[in-house]
Amino acid sequence: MRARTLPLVAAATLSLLAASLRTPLLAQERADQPVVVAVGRLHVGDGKVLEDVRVRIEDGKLAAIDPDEGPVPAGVRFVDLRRKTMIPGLVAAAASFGARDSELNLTPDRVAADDFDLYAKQERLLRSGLTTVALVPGEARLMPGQVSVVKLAGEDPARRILSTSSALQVNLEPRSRQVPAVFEPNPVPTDEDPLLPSRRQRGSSRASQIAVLKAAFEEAREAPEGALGGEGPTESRYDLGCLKQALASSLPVRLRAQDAGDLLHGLRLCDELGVRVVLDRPEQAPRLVDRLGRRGIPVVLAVPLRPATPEPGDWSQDEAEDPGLAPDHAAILARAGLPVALVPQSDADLDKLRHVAGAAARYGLPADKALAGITLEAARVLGVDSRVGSLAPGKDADFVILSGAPFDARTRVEEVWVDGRLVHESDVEVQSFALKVGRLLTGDGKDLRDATVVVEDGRVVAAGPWVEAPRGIDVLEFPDAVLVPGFIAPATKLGLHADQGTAIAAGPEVDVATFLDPRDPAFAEALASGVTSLLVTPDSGTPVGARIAAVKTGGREKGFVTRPVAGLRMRAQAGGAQGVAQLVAEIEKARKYVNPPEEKPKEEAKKDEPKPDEKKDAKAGPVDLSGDWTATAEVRSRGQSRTVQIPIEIKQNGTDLDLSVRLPGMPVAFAGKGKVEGDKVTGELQGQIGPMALKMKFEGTYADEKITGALTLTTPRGQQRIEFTAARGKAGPARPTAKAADKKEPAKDEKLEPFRAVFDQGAPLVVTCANRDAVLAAVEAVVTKSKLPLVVQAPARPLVEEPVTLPKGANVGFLLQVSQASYEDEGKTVDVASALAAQGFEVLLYAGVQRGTALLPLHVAWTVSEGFDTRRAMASLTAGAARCYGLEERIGRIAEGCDADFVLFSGDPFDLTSTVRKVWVSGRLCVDHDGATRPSER
Amino acid sequence: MSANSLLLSLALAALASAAPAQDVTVVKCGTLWTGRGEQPKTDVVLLIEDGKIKQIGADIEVPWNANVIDASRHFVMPAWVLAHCSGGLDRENENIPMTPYLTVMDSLEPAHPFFEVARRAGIGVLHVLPGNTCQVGGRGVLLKPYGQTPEEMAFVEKAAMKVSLFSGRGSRSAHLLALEKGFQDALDHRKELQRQRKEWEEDKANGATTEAEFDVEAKLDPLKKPLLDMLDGKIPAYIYVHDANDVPTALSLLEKYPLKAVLVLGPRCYKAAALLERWSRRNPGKLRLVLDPELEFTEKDPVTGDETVVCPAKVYWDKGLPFALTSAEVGGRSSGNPALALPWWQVGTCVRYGIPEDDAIAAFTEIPAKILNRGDRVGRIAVGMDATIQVLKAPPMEPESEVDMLLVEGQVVYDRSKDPRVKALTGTSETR
Repeated sequence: MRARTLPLVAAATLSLLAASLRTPLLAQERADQPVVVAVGRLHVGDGKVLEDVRVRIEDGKLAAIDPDEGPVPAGVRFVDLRRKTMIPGLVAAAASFGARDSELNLTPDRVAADDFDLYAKQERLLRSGLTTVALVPGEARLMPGQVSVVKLAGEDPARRILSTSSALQVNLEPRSRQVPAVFEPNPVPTDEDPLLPSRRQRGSSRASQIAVLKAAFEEAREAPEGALGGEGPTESRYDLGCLKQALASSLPVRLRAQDAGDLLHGLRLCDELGVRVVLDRPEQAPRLVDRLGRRGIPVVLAVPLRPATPEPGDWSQDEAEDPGLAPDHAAILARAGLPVALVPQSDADLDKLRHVAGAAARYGLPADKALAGITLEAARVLGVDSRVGSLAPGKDADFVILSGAPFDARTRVEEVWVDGRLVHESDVEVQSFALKVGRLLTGDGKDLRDATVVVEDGRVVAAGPWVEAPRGIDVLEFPDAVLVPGFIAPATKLGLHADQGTAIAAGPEVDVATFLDPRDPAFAEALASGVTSLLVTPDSGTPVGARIAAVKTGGREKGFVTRPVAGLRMRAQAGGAQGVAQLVAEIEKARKYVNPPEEKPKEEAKKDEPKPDEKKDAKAGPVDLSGDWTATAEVRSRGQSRTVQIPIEIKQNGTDLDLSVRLPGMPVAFAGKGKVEGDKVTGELQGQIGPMALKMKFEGTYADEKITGALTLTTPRGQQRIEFTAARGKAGPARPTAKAADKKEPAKDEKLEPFRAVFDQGAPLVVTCANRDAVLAAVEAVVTKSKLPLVVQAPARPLVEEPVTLPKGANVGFLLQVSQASYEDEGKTVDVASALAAQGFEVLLYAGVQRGTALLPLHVAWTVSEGFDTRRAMASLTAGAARCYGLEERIGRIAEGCDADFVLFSGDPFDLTSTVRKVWVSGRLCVDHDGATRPSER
Repeated sequence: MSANSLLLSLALAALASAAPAQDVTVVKCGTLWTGRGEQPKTDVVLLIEDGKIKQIGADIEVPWNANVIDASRHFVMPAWVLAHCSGGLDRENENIPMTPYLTVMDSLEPAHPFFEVARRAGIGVLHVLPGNTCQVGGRGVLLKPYGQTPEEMAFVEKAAMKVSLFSGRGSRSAHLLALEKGFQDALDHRKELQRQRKEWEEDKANGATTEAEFDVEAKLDPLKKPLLDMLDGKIPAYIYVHDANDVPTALSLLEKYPLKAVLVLGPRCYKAAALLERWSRRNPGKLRLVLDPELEFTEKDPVTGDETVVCPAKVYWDKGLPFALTSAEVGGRSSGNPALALPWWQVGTCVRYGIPEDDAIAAFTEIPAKILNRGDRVGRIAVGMDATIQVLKAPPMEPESEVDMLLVEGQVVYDRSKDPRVKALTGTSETR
C-alpha cells in the first residue's frame, strides 16, 4: 500500500500536468444548455438543401439555422458533424402497433393514442431514423376511431403525443365487412327491460356500410353538443363530437379503400357529406388519378417493396382485372399533382422506411418528393407539420444524422435526435478514410508537409505527400495540425493495477495479456494523451522472468492484444564470463526446446550415449562426469520436508571440473571449479543475489553412475546442508520427451513457450541488469553469441560515466526511466538519454508508475528540454520502441501496412501548448477533443 | 351496618355494576414500539379499556379485574393494516364489466382460510375489495379478520368503490371509453331526474300534478346510485392502475371528477413515477398510493435482452411519494411467491432495496391507516387509539419473529398457543 500513495509534491505536479491536457468534459453538460450542431448538408424536408450550416437548438426546438461561419458562440454545446448530412426525423403516416379492434363496428370516439405504450422502448425504429408515427386505430371495423400521431422517444408523455385526433378513420373495405354480433347483457332484467339476445350490427356490405356512415353523419349533424350516437346501451354508443368536427372540415376523414370501387364510392360519400378526405393506402388509386388529381387529395401510399422479403407473382399479371399495387404508383400520383406520403406495406418494415421511399424514387418519383413523402408531406397529411417533418426555426428538434445522401444504400444512420436530445447513436465506425494533414511525422524520422494518409480496414494503405485519396472515400482535412503515430509506452504496469514498489511477480508461464481488460478505465486516460500501445510487464519472479504483452489502449475486445508475447524478461546479476555463461545456458536450453536439433538421429545418438557399460569400457581412466546431472534432495523449508530436483552441470577436463548448480527457488546459478580424485568429487562454487555473495561446497562420491553427497550452502544467515543423490540427465519436464521417441508433439513447457516469440517473431529479451558488467554480459550473451534482439534495463549512471561499446550494427534498446534521464553532477546537468544514444543504444523512455503512462509524452518532452534530441525522443515514443520489440510492421510508424494508430496534435508534439485533438486506434476514432465533446460522452 | 360498610358496599356495588361493562386488558410489554419516529421502550404496560388504549406507562397499577397478557419477553407493535386486497371472497371478479351495485358484503366468506392466514400474519385491519378486471367492480368492506358473519367482521360496510383501468386482453382505448361512458351514463341519469323535478315543480306550481313529492335521491336507479356516490366523493374510489400508460389516465380522472381516490399501482407503474411526483407537487395531499404486492419486478429489455429487477417501492420512495404496501392473498393473483402473503416479507423487501426500516413498516401500518381514514384509530399505538396490536416473539425483521398474539380493539383474535394449524404442524402446543 505504501507504494501506491505518491508523495504529495509529485501528486501535485502530476495533477498540474493533467490539467494541461484536454481531458473529456465528462457529465458537465446541462440539459437545458443550448446546442449548436454544425452539419455539411441539411435537407429541410420540402426539397431544399442547405450546405454548411449551424443548427441552434434551444428547449428542444430549432432556434435558428445560420451559415457555418465565425467563432462558436460561448455558453453552447457545440457538436461538429460537418461531414454529415442532416434530415428531419422520419414520419411514417401509417402504423398499427398491434392495435386491437373492438367488437363494435362504430367507435369513432376511440383514440388510437390510448392503445399506444408510451413507456415501451422503440429502439429498433429509432435506430432507423423514424421518430414520428401515425397510429391507425384498427382495420377490421368500419369506423374504428381516430388516428393519433406520436413520437417514438421523449420523456414527457404529453410532449410525445403530437395529436390525439389527426383524422377520423373509415375503413371501406372487404375486411371491415365481417361484423360480429354484440351481446350487451342487462344486469337486472325486468319485464320492461328484458335480457335481449346478441345485437346484430349493420355494415356487412359496401352498400350497407355507406348507409351506416350516412346515418351516423346525419345523426351527428342534427344532434346537440355532447350527445351520444349509435345503438345499444350507453357503453356501446359513441360521442358524436368527432363526426361533427369532420362535417365542419376541422377533422379530415381518412378513407381506407384499396379497391377502386370502394374508393370511388367512398369519395362520392365524402363529397356528399362535404368532408375533407385523406386516402389511406389506396392500391388502385392510379385508376382514379384524373378524378383525384383535380382535387389534390392527399394520399398515404404503401410502397410494394418488402426489403429482403421477395413476394411471388408479378405486377403485369391480370393488370386489366386487378392493377394491384406497383412501385410506380407513387410517381403516377405525384405527377398528377397529389401530395404523397410513403409508408411500407407492413408494420414489420417501418424500420426500412428510407429504403422503401428510395424504391419509389427508383420507379420515377423525384428524390426530393420521396424524401418529403417520409418527412414533411407525411407530417402535412397528419396535420402535425407545424412541429415535425421539416427543419426550420420553431420546429421540434427532431433530426437524423446520416453518413451520406439519404437514399444511398451505403448511408448509415449515425445519430437520431428527438426534442433536441440524442436518443440513438450508431456504434458502427468507419474504418476507411483519408486524412489530409499539414504536417506528418511518420515516426521513423520523416517529417512531411501537406501529406495524405489513406486508411482502409484499420490499416494504413498509403501515406505521403504525393498520395491521392481514392474516390468515394471520406477525406478529413486538418491543414494546420500535425499527425504522429500513436505513442508506445515501452514498459508499463498499467492495467495490472500495481504501481512501482507493489511487486506483481509472475513467471514466464503466466500469459499477461489475459489479465488485462480492454475496458480498463486506466487505459482511457493514457489514450486521451495519445498513448495507443502499451508493453505491459509484471516484475519477474524468476531469472527467466515474465512475458511482456503488447496491447492497445483504444482496442476493444477485438484487436486489443497486438502480440501476447512481445518480449521476455530475464535478469543478469553477474558480469564477466560467468554472467555470459548463465544467460547463454538459459537461451540454449530454450533454443533446444523451441528448435530441437535434428530430431531423430540426435535422439538415437542420445539413447546410445548414456549406456553406462560402454562408457566405462571406452574410458578406462578416470570417469568422465561431463554432462547434465539431476540431484534429488530432501529439503526442509518452513517446517515441511519436500523433495526437490537440483540441476547440476559438469564439464570435465582431466581431473578438473567446471561445476554449475541451480537451486530451485533461488534466482541464481552457482558456478565454480572442482576436482575428481578417484571416486571423490569436490568443488567450491559461488553465486550472487544482488549484493549478496553466496558460497557453496560440493562434496560427493561417484559410484554406479550416481553421485551421492551433500551441498553446503553458506549465506550471511548461516549454513545449510543439502544431501543429495544425483543421476545423469536433465531435470524438468523436458526429460521424458527424450525418452518418448514415438511422440511427435513434444510436451509443452509453458515456462519455455514464450521463447518461441523470441526465436521466431523477433521479440526481444528484456534483460534487467544489476550493474554495468551485467549489461556487457547481456550484450555478449544475447547479441553476440545468441544473435537475438536485446533490450536492457540497468542503472544508467555507470554507463554514462564509463561508456560501453556495442557491437557494430547491434540494435540494443535501453529502457530508461524518465526520472533517470538526467542527473546533476558537479553543478552540471548530465543528459543521460543523449549519452546512451551516443553509445549506440536505442533509448526507450518509460514512466515507471501507472499514472506516468498517461503523461509519458510530457515526460519525454521534459527530456527534450534537458537536451535530448527531438528525433530520438520521438523515436522513443514511436518507431524506436516498435523496432526494439519487433513490432515495427504493426505500430510506431505511419507507413503502408501499419495499423492506423494516429495522434492528431494541434501543433508540434513537443510544443507544450499543443494539444491532442484526436486519436485513432486501428482506424477507429477513439478520442475527439475537437470543438466540444461528443454526445456519447455526456 | 356502619356508615363505613355502607359506603364500602356502595362502592362495591358501583364497581360490580361497572366491571362487567368495562372490558379491561393489560398487556405487559417487554418491548413496545409505538410507531414511526419512536424508539422502542422496554418494560411498559398497556392498559386497554373498551378496546381503546387508556394508558401507556411503566408503573401502571393493574386493575383487579383486568385480563393480563404477559408479553414481558415479547415485542409489541401496531398490527398490520392492509389497505387493498381481494381475499376471502368466493370469486374476485364479475364477468360483466360495469357492476357498481355489487358489494363485497354479499361475497364474503368469514370461514375463508384467508382470514386465518391474515390473523397468523398479524394483520388487524383489512380492506377487501373486488378484483382488478371489471371496469367498476363494486364496493369493498373494511373489516377485522375475525367473526362469524360479515356484519360481525365489518367495521365499515360499503367502504369504497373499486375501479380498474386494467383492460386485460382487450384494447385500452375501448376500456377507457366504456368506463367513462358508464360514469357519464350515471350522471346523465341524475340530470334527467333533476330535469323531471323541475318540470314537477312547474306543474306543482300550476297545480297540474297530483304527485306530492319528487325526491331525486329516492328516485335514483339503485344500480347507478353507488357510482354517483363515488363520483360525488361520498365514498372513496380505489382505482387499480395496471400499467405506466394508465397513470396519466388515472390522473385525468382525478382532475375531471371530484373523486376521493386512492390509486392502487401495479408494478409497471414505477416508470411513471416522475409524472406522479409532478402531479403530487401540483396537488399537495391529494395523491394516495397503494402498491401491488409485487415488489420485485423483473423486466427484460427487448433490445439488449438484459433482465433488470426493479423494486417499485424504492422508486416511489426516492421520489418522496408516500405509499401503502400490501400483501398478496395465498392462492390468489400473485400466488407465485407465497412469501408475498407475509407483511414482514414485503416490508423486508423494501428494506433490502434501501428504504429505512421505520418508513417501510409505516407503509404497512400508519400510512394505510391514514389512507383508510383510520389514522386516528390504528397504525400506531397511542392513548385513545384502538388497541389493534400484535405481540411478536422478536422485532418483525428478526428471523425468529412470529406473531404470538393479535388483538383487534382489545380483543384477542389470535393466540399462537391455541392455533390448531400450528399444533398440527409442530405436534405441540407452543407456550409463550
